[in-house]
Amino acid sequence: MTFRQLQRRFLLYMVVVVIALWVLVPLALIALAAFTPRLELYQWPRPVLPSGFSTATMSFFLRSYGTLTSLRNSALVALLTLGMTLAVGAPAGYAVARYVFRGREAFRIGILMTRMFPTSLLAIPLIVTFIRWQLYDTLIGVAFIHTAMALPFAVLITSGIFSGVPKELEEAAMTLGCSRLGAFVRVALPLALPGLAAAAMFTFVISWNEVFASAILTVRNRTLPAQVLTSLEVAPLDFRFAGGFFMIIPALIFMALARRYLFQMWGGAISER
Amino acid sequence: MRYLSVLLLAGLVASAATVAAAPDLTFMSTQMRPITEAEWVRTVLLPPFTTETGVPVVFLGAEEPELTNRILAEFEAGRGSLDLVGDLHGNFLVYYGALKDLGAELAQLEALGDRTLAQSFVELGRIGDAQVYIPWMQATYVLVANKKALQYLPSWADPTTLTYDQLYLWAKKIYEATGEQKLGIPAGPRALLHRFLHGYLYPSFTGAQVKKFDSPAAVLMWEYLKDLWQYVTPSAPLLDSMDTALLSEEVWIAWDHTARVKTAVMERPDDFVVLPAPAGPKGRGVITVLAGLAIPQTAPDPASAYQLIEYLTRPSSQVAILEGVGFFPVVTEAAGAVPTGGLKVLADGVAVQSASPDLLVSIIPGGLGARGGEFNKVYLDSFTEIVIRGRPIKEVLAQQGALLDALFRETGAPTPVPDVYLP
Repeated sequence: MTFRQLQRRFLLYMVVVVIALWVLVPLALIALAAFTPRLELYQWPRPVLPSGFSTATMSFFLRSYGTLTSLRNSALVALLTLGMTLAVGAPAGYAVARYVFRGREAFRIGILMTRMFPTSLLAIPLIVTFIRWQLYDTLIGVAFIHTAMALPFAVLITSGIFSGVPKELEEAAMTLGCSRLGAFVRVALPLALPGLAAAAMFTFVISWNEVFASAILTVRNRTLPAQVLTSLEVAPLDFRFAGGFFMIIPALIFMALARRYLFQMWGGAISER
Repeated sequence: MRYLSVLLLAGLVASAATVAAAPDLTFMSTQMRPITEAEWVRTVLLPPFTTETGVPVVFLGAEEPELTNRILAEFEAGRGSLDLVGDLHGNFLVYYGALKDLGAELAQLEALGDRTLAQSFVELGRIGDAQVYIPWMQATYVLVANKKALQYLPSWADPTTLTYDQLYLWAKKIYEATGEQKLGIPAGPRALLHRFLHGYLYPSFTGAQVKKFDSPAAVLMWEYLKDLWQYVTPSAPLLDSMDTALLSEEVWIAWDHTARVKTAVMERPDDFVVLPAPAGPKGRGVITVLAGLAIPQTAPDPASAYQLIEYLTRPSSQVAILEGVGFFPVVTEAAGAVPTGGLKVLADGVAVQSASPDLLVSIIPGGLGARGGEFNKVYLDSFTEIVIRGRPIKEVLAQQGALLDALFRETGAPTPVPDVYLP
């Protein structure tokens, strides 16, 4: 290895380290703060490492009204959103990728335009409609809204994925006796699976983080971000750290689970072709 | 595996779609929303009511715009989920049309004979021809000082009748002695700096919140604030509430909402004194924050909601609220109750402030509807332009004053107190 190569490698690693720190340092700080004894948080200057470990704030937060139910609600809404988004978004993405139809470009832009409406403008009509349709304060109602928000991205991502799957493979399958649907299910879908996982991850995060619609469309059945917003926005510092830390954990777990599909997309599926 | 996941999804859908209709009372409030206060309401304040009446109450916190949208939407849909609403005076002005007239309920309450609701507050709750809300509790903004700061107070100044000039000299002297800017005025993204500007400085210097926005007296006020700002802690633009900064001793003197200094005073009652806000040439400008209770027209159970209003306005409940969350009573019978510890320090400070002979009370302007945020923005933008960017005062005031005029003209909002009393 020449000196120049070494130098380049060193620079590369430096960049990687900086990016990793950029993500990890805030996570570490919030985790530390969430378990610091509360009076120590108010000291000035505050030591970086707490003198002791305290779960008082966290356990108060966990036991307080609505925290655990809202966690369950958030998980349910995210999974429902995931199911509905992929059920509608993946076929739509496939259609945009495979078929040439009149107004395809307009359709693509139209998809993105749905994201241009600020939800807050729609607040009152949305609540009124949800009340009339009996969807107000139900989780399925929130999941519908989240699906509407996530669909544009899901369609765009999946259409990108499907256009990466060679049409010839499907045609070959059809010459060997597959129907149109069969070729999609047996050939295109498995090849697109890692990409679909990415779309799923994205959808999950959109739903998990969404606050506004969840807050106005539910009364008692709050999702976690809505619950955290109303109870912690103006709360003392220690509770904000505890709530913030608590919100990160499930998202991290989901990422860890979905991660291997992502690597497959970058590494596996593409090189196999 | 596939069947399993289909089954799982079906189960999820089923469990998400079935939400049992609850027979209990829904009480939504923009006040007592922070987690510790809300838990206190649920575990201490409300259980005796449930024991007494057999009606369980679900207490829910909500942000202001969220609550407003919800009430307007439920009214429009003709079907509601909220039984009782707790909110601030100014917000009721936005959605009072969707609320029930509580005239009869008020008479019923007063006939009980055990409570006297402050008459001025009851009148504020009469909007249009209807008694839109029943006064519930009040709060204000005060000055809190660390006892270490008192030695730097000019010897001829009395901390309970402080003027803005004395505050300036005080902060200056601390700076000269310690080399640190120890005055705290919250200017963070969620801070209440705009309240300090329109409800404290403006009335104290000009006698009005809005009417004298662009006037010679206002120019003097902004010049004063520019001078004062040299001694305000450099981290002020990051601070949303003063309790953290007071506890860490980053600041020694702080102005803020009672609820936002309460943690500090409760935590270390012996280290702090609570003082009235300073006075200016036109008097001691002070905001009274008034919260009320209202019943939406679409309330599923208005009768139980009235019972809860009756319970919450009892003198004993009013004292409990003061002790639990630091909101002050609106019922005369409760005013005499003396709390202890940090709360006593706070309550005494507020009592001295409201007994000041030169008091000039402001109510946060209401009736601006969805444009309430623009009102705050006029004051905050003027602050940024004048104090932070150093633009000429007259120029900024002319510009922002035009916006303020237009705002009141276009929304038809009523002239706020104390501006109405000016000739």
